Amino acid sequence: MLRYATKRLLIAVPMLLMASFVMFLMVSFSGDPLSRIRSQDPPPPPEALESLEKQLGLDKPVLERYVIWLFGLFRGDFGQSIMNIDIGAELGNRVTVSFRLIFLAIIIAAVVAVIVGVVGALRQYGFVDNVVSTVVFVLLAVPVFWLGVLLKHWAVSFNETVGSTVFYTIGDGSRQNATGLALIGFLVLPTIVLTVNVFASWSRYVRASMVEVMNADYMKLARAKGLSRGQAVWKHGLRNALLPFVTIVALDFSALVGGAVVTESVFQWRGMGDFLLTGIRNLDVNVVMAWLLIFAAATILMNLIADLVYGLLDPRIRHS
Amino acid sequence: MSADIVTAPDMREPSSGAGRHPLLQVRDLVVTFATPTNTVNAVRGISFDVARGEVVGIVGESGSGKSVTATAIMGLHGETARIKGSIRLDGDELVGASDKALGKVRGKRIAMIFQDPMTSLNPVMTVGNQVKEAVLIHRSMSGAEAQAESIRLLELVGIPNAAERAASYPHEFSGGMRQRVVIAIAMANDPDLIIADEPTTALDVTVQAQVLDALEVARKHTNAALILVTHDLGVVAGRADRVMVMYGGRAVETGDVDDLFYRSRMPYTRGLLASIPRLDNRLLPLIPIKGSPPSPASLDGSHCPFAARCEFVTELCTSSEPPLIDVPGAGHRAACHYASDYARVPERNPDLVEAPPRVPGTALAPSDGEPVLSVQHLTKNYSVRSKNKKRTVHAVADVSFDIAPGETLGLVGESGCGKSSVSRSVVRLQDMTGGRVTLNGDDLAAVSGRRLRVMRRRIQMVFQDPYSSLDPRMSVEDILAEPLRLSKYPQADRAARIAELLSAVGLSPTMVTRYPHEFSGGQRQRLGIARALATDPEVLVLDEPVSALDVSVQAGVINLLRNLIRDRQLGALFIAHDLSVVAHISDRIAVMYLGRIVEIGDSEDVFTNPVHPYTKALISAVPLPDPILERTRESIQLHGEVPSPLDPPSGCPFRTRCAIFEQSLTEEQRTRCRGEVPALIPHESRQAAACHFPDLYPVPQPAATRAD
Amino acid sequence: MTVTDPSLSLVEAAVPVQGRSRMPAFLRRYLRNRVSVAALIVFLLILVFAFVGPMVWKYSFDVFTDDNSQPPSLDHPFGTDSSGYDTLAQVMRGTQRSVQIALFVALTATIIGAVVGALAGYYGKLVDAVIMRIVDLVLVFPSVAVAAVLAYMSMGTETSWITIAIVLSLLAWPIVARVVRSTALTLAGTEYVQAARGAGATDLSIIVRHLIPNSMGTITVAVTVLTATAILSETSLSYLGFGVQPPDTSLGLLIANAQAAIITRPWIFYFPGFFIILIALTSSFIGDGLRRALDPRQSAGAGS
Repeated sequence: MLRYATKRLLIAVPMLLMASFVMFLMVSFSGDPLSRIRSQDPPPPPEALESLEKQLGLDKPVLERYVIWLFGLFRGDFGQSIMNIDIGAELGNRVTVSFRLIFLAIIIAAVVAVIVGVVGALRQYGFVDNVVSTVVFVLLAVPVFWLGVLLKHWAVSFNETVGSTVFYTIGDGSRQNATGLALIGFLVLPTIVLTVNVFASWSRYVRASMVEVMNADYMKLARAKGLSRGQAVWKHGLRNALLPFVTIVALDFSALVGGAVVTESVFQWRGMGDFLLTGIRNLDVNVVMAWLLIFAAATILMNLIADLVYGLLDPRIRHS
Repeated sequence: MSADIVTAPDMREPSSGAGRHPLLQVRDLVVTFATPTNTVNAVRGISFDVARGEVVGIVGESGSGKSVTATAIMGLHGETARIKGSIRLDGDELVGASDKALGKVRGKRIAMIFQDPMTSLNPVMTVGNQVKEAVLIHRSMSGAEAQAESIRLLELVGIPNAAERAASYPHEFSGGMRQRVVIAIAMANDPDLIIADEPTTALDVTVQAQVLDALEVARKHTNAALILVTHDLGVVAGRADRVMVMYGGRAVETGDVDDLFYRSRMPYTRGLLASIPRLDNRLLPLIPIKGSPPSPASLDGSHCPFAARCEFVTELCTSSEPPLIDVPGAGHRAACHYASDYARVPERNPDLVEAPPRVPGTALAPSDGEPVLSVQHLTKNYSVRSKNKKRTVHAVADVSFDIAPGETLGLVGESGCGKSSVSRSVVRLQDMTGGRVTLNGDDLAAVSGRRLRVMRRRIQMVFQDPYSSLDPRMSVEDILAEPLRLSKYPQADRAARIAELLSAVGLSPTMVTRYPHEFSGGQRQRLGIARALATDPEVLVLDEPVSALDVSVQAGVINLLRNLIRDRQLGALFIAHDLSVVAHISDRIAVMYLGRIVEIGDSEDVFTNPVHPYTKALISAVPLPDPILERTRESIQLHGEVPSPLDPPSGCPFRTRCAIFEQSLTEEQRTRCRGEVPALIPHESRQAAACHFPDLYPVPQPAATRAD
Repeated sequence: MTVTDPSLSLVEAAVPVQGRSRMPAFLRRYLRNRVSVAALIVFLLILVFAFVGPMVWKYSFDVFTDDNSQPPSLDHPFGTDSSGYDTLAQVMRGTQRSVQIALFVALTATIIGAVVGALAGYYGKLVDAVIMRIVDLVLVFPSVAVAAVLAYMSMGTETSWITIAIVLSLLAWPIVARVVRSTALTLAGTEYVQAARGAGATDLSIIVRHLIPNSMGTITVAVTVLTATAILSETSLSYLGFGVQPPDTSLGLLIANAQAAIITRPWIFYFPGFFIILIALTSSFIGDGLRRALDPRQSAGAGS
C-alpha cells in the first residue's frame, strides 16, 4: 500500500511540471499580450513598447521565460500582471469563494447521485426508475448557463411574491460579508445549477455500476445464505458498486471547475471564474498561467486522493 | 404434460423419526424467461424427488436447463424468470412463497454452491467474515462464538491454518481453496439439502478431487442430501446414488446410477456414453452424435427434443414428445417412445467409426524418420511485480520434445504447469527466453520480420474458444481468405481452395457467405480448424480445442482432428487439461508440472503404467464414467496445492506433495530431491520420467476406496 | 479423406439466425427502439431547419426588420428582439453555427481519439503508457478555461468558428481515446487477432481489418455522445463571450444577449435554449439506441 501511494505521488509531481510547461507554451504561443496596446491609435512610441516588453519579460526566449516563471513560483511570485494586482493574494481570495461552491456541489451531487442511482438499479425498469432515468437524460442535455438564467428569473419572481430577498441572484456574498442564512441565500441557486449538471451523469454511472454488481455471483451467494435483497445490497452490494465511483468524482473534477466558471459568470460572482475571464480579456498572461496552474494542481491532487482512497478501500490493492 | 413422478427407491437409512416421504419433491416445474422479444421456456416440466441423505446427480449439456432448475429450487432464478409448478421441502411449498419465508429456508435448510469460486465470494470482505455472516443470519450467538464457529467450519473443509487465514481476502486464496470456503458457508447451519451447481467445472482435476472430497465431508457432517449438477459423467458416476439426465429443458432419463450407466434406455444417454473418451480404455472409438444440443427457444413440446440428432428417429418421434416411461430397474424411467423395447435401441455401432492406427513411439524420440517439429530446451521466463519486488516466473523450464509427421503429442498438466506457454512459444505468439524450435530443420526462433511471417504459415494454431476465435464481422469466406491472402495464394484459385477446406472439416461449401454467429460451437471450431489448414502447415498446435464444446459435440471434432492429422501427416501438439481427451487422441504424452516435463512416452505406457508419482496422482484423480470402477478404484490423495510458480521448490518441483518423498526415502535421499532437479530418464526402456527414485513408490494401503 | 468418414455425415446447414449478415441484425434491433428512431428523425429535421431553413426563410438573421420586440406571430413565428431582428432567422443561423461546430468536433475528435486509442490498446506497454500520459495531461485542465484561452488569445475578436471547432476537438479527443483504448485492449487479446498474427498478418493489417471494424460500435456511440458534449461546450463558451463572435451568431450568444430580457421578451431566451436541449437530447438518445442495438446481450435468452 505504501508503495502504491508513493508511486502515485511520484507520478503526480512530474505530471504537474509537464502540465505547467505545456500550458506555458500554449499561452505563450497563442498570442501577443501587447497586441491591443500595439493596435491603439495613435500607436505608442517604440521605447514605451520596448520597456513594457522588458517588464513583462517578453524579450526573452520561451524556455528562459518558463524557467524564470517557475523559479518565481517557488518564491511565491506569480509574476507581473497587466492589471497591476498581486496575483497570489487575489487568487487566494477568489479561490476560497469558488471552492465553497465547488465542494458543496460535489458533496450534494455525490449523495443524491448515489441515492438515485442505487434506487434506480434496484427497481430497474420500474416506474420510478423510468421516470428518473428520463429526467436524468433531459438534465444532461440542459446547458448550465441557461438553467442558471432561468433559476435567476424564477428566484426574482419568488422574492417578489414573498416580499423579501430570500435567494440572491447577484454576487457571492463576500462583499456583504454575509454569514449564516444570508450566506446560504447566496449559495443556493449557484449550487443547484452546478449540482444538477454533474449529478445527472454521476447517477447514471452509479446505476450502471450497481446493476452490474447486482448480477454478480457473490450477490447470489449472499442471497443463498438467506439474506433478503435489501440486506444483500446493503452488506455486499454497495461497497463494491461505490468503490469505482470514487475515481469518477476525481475524474470529473476539471469538468466541475469548468461548470463553476460558467455558473459564476451567470450569478456574477467575484470568484476565480471571473478572475480568469478578466485575465483572458486583458490578455494578462501571468494571471492566466497562475489560474491554470492552480487548477491543474487541484485536479492532480484530487486524482491522487481518489487513488489513495480507492487503494485503502479495496483490499486487493491494499494487500499487494 | 403428464405427471411424471419419479419416486425414490427404498430408503437407505431412514433418518430418525422422519416419515417415508422424500425430503424434496419437485412436480411439474416450469421456468420461463421473458425478454422484450420473446419468452423462453428453459425448463419445460420436470418432476423428481430427493430423499434424505442421498446424492442426486443432474446431468446435462448447454440448454438442458439443469442450472436453471438448481437455482429455481432456491428461488434465486432472477427477476426475469417465472416459475410454475410445485417444489416442496419437507412438505413446505416453496413456489410462490414470500421472499421473507424463503430467506428462512435459504442458508438454513437448503444451501447452494455455485460454479465459479473466483466470483462467488465478495472480494472486499474477509473470508472469515463471510462464513461468520452465514452463521449469524440463522443462529443467534455472540460475535466471538460466531468467529470460533467459522474457524471450525474452515478447518472442517480442510483450509490449513484456518484461524489465521480467516482474516484473509478471497483473492489471496487459490480456486480450490475458495470453493472450500463456499462449501464451509454452505454447511454452516446444518442444511438438509445442499445444491452444488457445477462446483468443480472451473477447477483442475486434482483440485476437483479435493473439493469433491470436501463436499463429501460436509455431507457426512450435516447428513444433508446433495443435488450435484454437472456435465461431467465421470463425476456423477463416482459420487451420485441416482442420476437424472436433462435434455432440452426436461428430464429424459432418471434412475439408479448403475442402471443409467450400464442399462440406459434413452438414445441420448447411450449416445453420450458412447461418445465420451475414457481414460481406462483409450482405444475405444468415439462415436459422435451429430448436431448440437437444441436451444430452449426452439422447443415447443410437439416432438422429441432429441429427434434431430437421433440415429433411430421415426415418424412418431418427430410428431409427439415422449413422456417418461418405466423401464426395468428401480425407479428407472426413460423418455423415449421405444424405451421399453430393448431390441429397438441397440448398442451404437462402433464400426461406423474408422479409428486410425496408432503411431507407436519410444520415450523421447518419435518412431520413424525425421521429426517435423523439434523443441529443444525451451525456456520461458517473465517478470512480475509481487509484494513490492520484481520476481521472475519460470513458466517453462527446459522443455524438449520431438514430433514426427502424422504423430500427435499430448501435453497435459494443470493450471500453472506451463503448457499454454509452451504452445504460445512454439508458435511464436510470445517470445521464448531460451531454446530452439525447428520445423523440419529450420530454426523458427532465429527469424524475424518478413521471414518470420513466411515461416509462420508452416505451423498453425487451433484455439480454444469458439466464440472469440473467429472475427464476428467477417464472413466465412473472409475468414478463410485471410490466411490465403497473406500467403499470396493465387487470387483465382482461392474460392476453390476455400470450398476444399470447408469440405475437409465437414462443412458445406455453401456456407461461405454466413457469419460466425450463425454457427454452433462445434461448427465454429471446425471453421477454426479449416483456417489453420489453409496455409497447408506441417505442424498443428491445438490449444484446448474441444474444452469449450459440449460433451456430445466433442467426439465429432476429435475424430475429425485425428483423421486430418493422419491423412495429411501433420505433426500435432495437443494441449489439454482433460486427460481422457488427450489420452484418446495422442500417440505420445508429456506430463508437465511447474514448467517441467515430468514424464514423457508412449500413451499406452504412460496411462497403463505411469512412473512419476504426479502422473499416478493425476490419472487417479480423473473420474471415470463407470460407477463400479469408480467405487472400487483406489484413489491417490494429493494433498496441498501446486506451489506458486514465483517460488518453485528447489530441486524436484514435485517433492512438496510427493508420496515417495514423504514415505519411502531416507534423509540422504531426500537431500538429493531437495538439491537436484531430476532429469528425464527412460524407465525400463519405455517412457521417461523425471524422478530420482521412481521404484520406491510406496505400496498403497488397501483401504482407500470410495466405497468406504 | 476416407469416404466413410463419419464427420462427413455431420454436414448440416448452419442454423439460420436473424438474417444473413451482421448488418441487418443490428439495424433491426436499432429500429425496434422507437424512442431512438424518433430522436434520429428529429435530429435530421433540426439539420434541415438549420441548413436549409436560412436559404428558404424570408428574413435574414443579420438584417433588422421594423417590428421590434414582437411576441411570436405568424409573420415572426419566434418573435423579434429589441433591434427588430427576426428571432426565427437568428435561431436558425445560431443552430447552424452551433451544430456545425458540434459535428466538426465530434467527427474530428473521434477520428483522432480512435486512432490514438487503437494504437495504445493494440501495442500496449510503452506506447500505451506514453499515450495515456498525454491523455491524462490534456484532461487535467478544465476544458472551458483552456478553450477560452486558446480561442480568444489567439484571435481575439477575430475568432472564426473553425478555430473554436479545432480547439474544442483538441480538448475532446482524449475522452474518445480512453474509451477506444479499452475496447482495443480487449480486442487485441481475442483469439482471432492471435490467429491473424499466426497467419502472418502485419500489425497494420490487423488494426485495419480486425480492430477498427470491431470497434465501430464504440466509435459510433462516441460520435453521438461527443455531439451532445460539444454543443454544450460551444454554447457555454459563446455565452461567456469567448466562442463565436458577433456578427456571427451561436445559440449560446443568443442566450447571452437575451438574459436581461427574459421577463419582457421571453421568447428570445426560451427558443434558443430549447434548441440546445433538443440537439443534445436527440444525440444522446440516438447514441443510447445505438449502444443498445450493439449489445449482444439484449437478444440473448436464458442461460443453460
